[in-house]
Amino acid sequence: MGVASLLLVLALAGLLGAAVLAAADRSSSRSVDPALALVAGLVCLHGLLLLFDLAAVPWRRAPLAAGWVVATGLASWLAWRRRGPGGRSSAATLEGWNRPGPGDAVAAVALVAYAGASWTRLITIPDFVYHWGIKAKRHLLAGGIDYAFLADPLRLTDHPDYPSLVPGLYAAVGVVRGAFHERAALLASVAFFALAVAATRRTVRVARLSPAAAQGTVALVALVLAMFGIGHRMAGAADWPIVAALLVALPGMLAAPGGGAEAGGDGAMRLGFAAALAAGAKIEGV
Amino acid sequence: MPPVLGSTRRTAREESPPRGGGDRRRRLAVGALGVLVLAWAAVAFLLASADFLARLVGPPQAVGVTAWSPGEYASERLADFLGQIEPRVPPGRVVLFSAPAAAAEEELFLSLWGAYHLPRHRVIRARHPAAGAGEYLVVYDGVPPRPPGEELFRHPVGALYRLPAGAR
Repeated sequence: MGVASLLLVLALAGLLGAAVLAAADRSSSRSVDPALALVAGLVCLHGLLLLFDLAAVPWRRAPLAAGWVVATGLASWLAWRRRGPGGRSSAATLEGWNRPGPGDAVAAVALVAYAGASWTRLITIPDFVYHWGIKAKRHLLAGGIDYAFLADPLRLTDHPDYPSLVPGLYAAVGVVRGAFHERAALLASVAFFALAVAATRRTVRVARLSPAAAQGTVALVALVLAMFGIGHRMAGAADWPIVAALLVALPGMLAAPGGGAEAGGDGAMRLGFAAALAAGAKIEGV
Repeated sequence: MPPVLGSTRRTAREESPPRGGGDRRRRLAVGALGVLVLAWAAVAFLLASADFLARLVGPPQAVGVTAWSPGEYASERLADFLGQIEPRVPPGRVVLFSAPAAAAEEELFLSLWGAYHLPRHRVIRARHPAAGAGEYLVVYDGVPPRPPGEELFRHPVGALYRLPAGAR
């Protein structure tokens, strides 16, 4: 149930992100990069949670569901107005993606290995206990950002100034499930791993690497991520969104001027959402 | 856009007449370097996985609290202990976390684990300057010879006490 809640939150975030991208995209692109849609959705979810917090609306199922419906509906309506009924759908497409190859198979093995290790919780980063996990639990119990905890004169937390995207995501999964779920929170790292691999696949396509170099690059990135994630116990780390953000931004940086369609969406939006994800995850992401 | 390593995009230099074996040798060298880096990544991944599997199936290791992860024997013992304490202390109360057998730094990290497992309470380490505000005391890995207050719960790894008002 916890993992299903995580998948539901990610799916809803992806749909919201795809709608927002479709509404705001100034390029003539006809396809939305699913990885970029998820990044945009996670940033929008973070914004939604902050907005609720500012408006003193509790982080509960009904208000969050209503907020998601309003935000996604508004973005879809704006996209429809911009492009008309014959225009692009906000649904993500896979047109033009490379065919799977041996590098993708290696990446899949690395991803499964990392997911399995995360599932055992034995590769949890200590910061998950000291910072991200405890903040998510407190925010979930408070129904919003627990400022009393962050500002407690007993100094219960050492980093009250860190941004709240990661604990907010963990708390959102907890809102859907009805309680904090440690394993689901840890598996969010696997989602960012997958996002990084998907972004690498698009990057090698935009960079027009030869098939062998492209497959080798995908395999290399996945193996290094899995090696570091397992060997250095990175499950639950807030560094994953930064890694994913950097790789999602790369197609926009590599694309030739006017190559927004090739990169999968407007380059400025790609860089903007990727930067927002990194900055929202950790101060180091700025 | 500058040419990218391994790119199939043709640059001006590539469109000039072939120079013989120089380019081929360069491509071979770049390819060999790529294969070496890939092999290094594969070996590093396998070593990390093997180390993880050894931890997974091997006997519990005695490691310091700074190397703990959820799911390990020691952290699960603490989680079980604190999970039984949680309903015995009213939410919002200040809970001191004491680990007499641990060094000061270890007690700090243990108290952070305590805060993680007792999110409804205000958990600080017993050696904290503000420990005078404590209303309850959790003693982990050892029981004090003289009870510091009313004993509310005892567990194989520790005990919970309600501190008298005068002791604060």
